[in-house]
Amino acid sequence: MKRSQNVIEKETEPLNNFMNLKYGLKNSLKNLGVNKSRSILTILGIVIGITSIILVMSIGRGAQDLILNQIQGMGSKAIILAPGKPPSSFTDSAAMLDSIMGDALKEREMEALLKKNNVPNVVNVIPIVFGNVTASYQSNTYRMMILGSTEDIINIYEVYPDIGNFFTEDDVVSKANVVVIGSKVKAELFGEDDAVGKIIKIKTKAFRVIGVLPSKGQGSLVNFDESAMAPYTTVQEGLLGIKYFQHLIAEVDDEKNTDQAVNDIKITLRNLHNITDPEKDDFNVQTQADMVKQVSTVTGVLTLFLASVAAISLLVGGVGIMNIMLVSVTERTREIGLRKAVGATGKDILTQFLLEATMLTSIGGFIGIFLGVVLGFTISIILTQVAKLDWGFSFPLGPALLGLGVAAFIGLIFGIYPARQASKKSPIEALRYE
Amino acid sequence: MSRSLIELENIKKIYCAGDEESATHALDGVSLEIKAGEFVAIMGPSGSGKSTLLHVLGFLDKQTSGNYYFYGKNNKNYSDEELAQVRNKDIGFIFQSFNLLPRTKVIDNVKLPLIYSGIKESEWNSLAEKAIESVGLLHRINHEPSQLSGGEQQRVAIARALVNQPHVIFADEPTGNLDSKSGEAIMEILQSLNENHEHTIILVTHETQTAKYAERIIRLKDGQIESDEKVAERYRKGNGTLK
Repeated sequence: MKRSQNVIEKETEPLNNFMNLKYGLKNSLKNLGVNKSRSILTILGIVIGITSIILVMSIGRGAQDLILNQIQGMGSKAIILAPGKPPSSFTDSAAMLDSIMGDALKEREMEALLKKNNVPNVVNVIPIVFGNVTASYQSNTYRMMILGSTEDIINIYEVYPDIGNFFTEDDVVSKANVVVIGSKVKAELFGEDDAVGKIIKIKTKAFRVIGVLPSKGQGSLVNFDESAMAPYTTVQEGLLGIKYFQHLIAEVDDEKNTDQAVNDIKITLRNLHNITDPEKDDFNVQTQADMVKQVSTVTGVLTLFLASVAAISLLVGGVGIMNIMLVSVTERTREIGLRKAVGATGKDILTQFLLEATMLTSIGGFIGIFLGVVLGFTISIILTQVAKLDWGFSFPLGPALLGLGVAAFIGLIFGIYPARQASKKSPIEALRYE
Repeated sequence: MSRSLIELENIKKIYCAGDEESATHALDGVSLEIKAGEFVAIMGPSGSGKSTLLHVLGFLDKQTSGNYYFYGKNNKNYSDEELAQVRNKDIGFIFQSFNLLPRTKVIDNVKLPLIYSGIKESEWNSLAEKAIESVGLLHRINHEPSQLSGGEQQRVAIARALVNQPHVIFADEPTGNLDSKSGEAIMEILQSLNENHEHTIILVTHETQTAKYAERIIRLKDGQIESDEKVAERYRKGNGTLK
């Protein structure tokens, strides 16, 4: 018989009647549209989760970039020496105290490091001393930080006075009482008046103002706005009453010699201090690379921690998705039965409900990314405008893609149970469901 | 002559609710044969097992025991995918309560079987329109079920059953929810399908008038065949009314 041959032909034909994906997507979108307010409430959890993750990530990135930029601003040829052994952790307060109060770095050490046969790659060593002092001009007083160094400090921090000049080598050698003041110091002491050429009192000593620094805003390693800079030769003993340096910055001739120079510096200082056990070092040496690594680790851990807190709301959102998909499966039992009666396989039904769940979470993911980026951008503008930080905003592409992936994945995970429930229904039972 | 379209051998359907004693024998040893191109009405009082029989025949349910050969192939040998394919391509099902998707246009309701058919999407519209035209509803193509009368909804359901051009159409009380005039229109469509396109039609009804459109009536009682006979005075379209 003709027809039975037809059937046999059909059986040998590959089973390629799997639901077409374009239809599936359209259909899912339509079904989500039928219950608009419910869909919106459902994706809210996902939106909040993704938004907070994107926000945390982009702010974390911004903060990290800000700090790293400043460290990198010092130049990769700078090696920083501080007294005291390297702190083993952030809570190692003895070592922390040592690094401020320690007197291991003095003129003698500086001279030793400058000797070519000790550290051949070091071209310059810049001493740094600092402390809080009170400055006054006429009836105005202001408590500020005084930073003492040589004229070479401007190469390290890249601060140039926009009014007047910086102090010179001669000023350092002759222990001149000259000072370059930050913008806030200038405003507090002089108001709108000119400052250059005026004499201010720092502690009990008179200093001539020779330059004013432009406003740099907060967020620098050193807040120059609220500081003044003078030759270390006048600051060290005259103002702070100390005979040591809080930091020495060694400049290397070439970046690739940094490691060699660090080694040479350590050996030189150990010889000078008769230290045989490196564990007992009374100084520590840090390169820019070390600092970048440390800061990256800290901000990275912090960002990850915050992001994982945000991820909890994603999880809650996922449970919401599962709940609503279960309701949807129950509500549409007859539809499932009918679809099966006209030829849908269990796989088709599974795909349909998974598509709906994934679409819900993906839409939530998109909205979340959008909101996160907008909020992140707004915050970066506020930080730049109001707090005067040099805060750069970069689109967090990685986290955004990750967020979208996570959202879709949550749709799959939390959608699979309801979708399986739907696909297992027998057509006649589903059709009889009231 | 080769084998029949449908062959049943001692089909039983037992619903177990708890222990064996309380089991219901919805079908209790049904054997019958239906050839391609027949128009068969299955009748019987409620609880006689006529709907259960139709569900087994239409691949919506499975018998507890016995053999069901469809085109000579035992339905026990079908995988889930093959079952889906038979439901999609070889048979069309019409329900008493229409079972149209709410808030979905007539054309999209009719397209539903095409989605799972593997037929290219570009052909869906013309196939669906052809099916809708054959039930005379082209002017309602963009309406939603809630905007249609019961008779029109059932015609949409028939168009949906026809769209994949199946050999066999099963109808479960197709006129049960309709007034007599709409019911007649539905039966006339089914009869013309049987005559013009050689579709095999198997319907379940408890109305004698409806059954008279068929050429053969199988009566069930308590899950068993009571009688199986040709209709002596078959009602045909245009041959007067049965009122």
